[in-house]
Amino acid sequence: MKGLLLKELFTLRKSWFAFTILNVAFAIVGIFGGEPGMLLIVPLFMSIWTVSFMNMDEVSKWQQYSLALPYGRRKIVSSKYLMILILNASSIVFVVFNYFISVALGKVDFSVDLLFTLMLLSLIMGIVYPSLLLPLVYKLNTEKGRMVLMIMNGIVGGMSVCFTQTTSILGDNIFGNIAGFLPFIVVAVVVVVYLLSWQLSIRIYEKRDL
Amino acid sequence: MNAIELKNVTKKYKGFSLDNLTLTLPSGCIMGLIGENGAGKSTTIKSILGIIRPDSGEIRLFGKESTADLKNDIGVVLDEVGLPQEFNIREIQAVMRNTFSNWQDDIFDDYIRRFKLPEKKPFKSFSKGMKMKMGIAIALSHDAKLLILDEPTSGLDPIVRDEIVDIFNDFTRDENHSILISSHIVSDLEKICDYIAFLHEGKLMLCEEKDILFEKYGFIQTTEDMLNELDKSAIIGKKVTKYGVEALIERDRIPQSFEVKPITIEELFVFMVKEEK
Repeated sequence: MKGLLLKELFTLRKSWFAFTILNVAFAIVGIFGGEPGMLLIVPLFMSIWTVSFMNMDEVSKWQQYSLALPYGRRKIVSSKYLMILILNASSIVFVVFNYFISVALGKVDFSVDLLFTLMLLSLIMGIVYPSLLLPLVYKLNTEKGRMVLMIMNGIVGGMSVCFTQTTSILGDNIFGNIAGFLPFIVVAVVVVVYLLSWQLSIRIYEKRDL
Repeated sequence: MNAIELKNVTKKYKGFSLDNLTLTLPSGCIMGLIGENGAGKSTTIKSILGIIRPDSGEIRLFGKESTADLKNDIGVVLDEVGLPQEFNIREIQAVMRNTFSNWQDDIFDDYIRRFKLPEKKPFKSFSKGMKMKMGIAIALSHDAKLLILDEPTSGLDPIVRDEIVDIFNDFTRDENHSILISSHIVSDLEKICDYIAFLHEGKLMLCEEKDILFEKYGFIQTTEDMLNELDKSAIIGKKVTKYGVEALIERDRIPQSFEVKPITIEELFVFMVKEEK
């Protein structure tokens, strides 16, 4: 497993420059534009990174070669899921750091609620998106997997609009009772989605011919 | 003990199937897997390595079912090598050091020097020959007992091919070391192999010790009439030219009056495949 993680970290280092430029650009827009929401682009980029690595693996035929090395399929999949956590943790640190810079520069007022909201949204974007994508990538391949997820995004987006309109018709009280528990519920859902995705990807990869 | 045992291995694809393959590579031997493109060589090798899952059959390595841990004893070179394109040699070395339980940096460094591979350039900038050498350097740097090589000499110039064949010869000086090597460049295999296995359209046509093949089969040049007088089952294949007939025969089943010339493995394979068709 150590060799696999090292390989992922070297790959990360190779594309670090391009992603740093992008992340810093959005951080500047977020900080100086007084729009902390822009900082959330960073965890979104980080979440896509894992899939980009898998695309590189496909191109270089590392997927086949790694199976000839002393790693089981379970370990190969698990290394990708550990990378999701590493990337997400670093993106949350990045978002929090930039939020405090915004506060220090007087661009936004400090708010615990906003800080936790940013952290929670970073967690959702950094974990849920790749968790949905990875089983598709293992089942199909990176290109087809991305395409299916884009279609899924469209469906989810459409459903969200319908859902928002429905709740506005029914009134906000419907969520009033659970609002205080919402962060915990969200974290629990993220953890469940992540673990289910991990196990599903292992099951798919165990059966796949490369 | 056998290094590799395949029993009735079958893998079906649309338009191709590896059909009930049974093959044994004894420890200490080199087996050449020969076949035209699409004969099933890579499918066989990928099945042995667990890269693809056979539909049925049994595969054992060193007498055991294949596990991830067992692959510490296997050095692999695939036809496209499969190393990360952006990595340089030192990064690849660091990954391999943390992958194989018996990785040997000094041996790897020796091969890098011997092959004159550039340490700082990314793998993607290597020529085909350099990539193959890199794959071979890794395969030989973790005290492997078995090398599995899929077309390691394809696309290489004759000088590099010769150099690589010499390295494989060195490897098998240890009597516990075995090699399974696939290639459609039969002359390379003829130089080093103890056993030859012919694959054609997913079927094993023949698997025999190389020396026995040379003893058993030969070439005769004769006329069509004289050939017709021979036992038909002694004739493996024939080619009619304007000067007469060239035939591949079993030596001990024709009269001694015939002048029998030695065959090459390539000639044997080509005749057998043509006869099959």
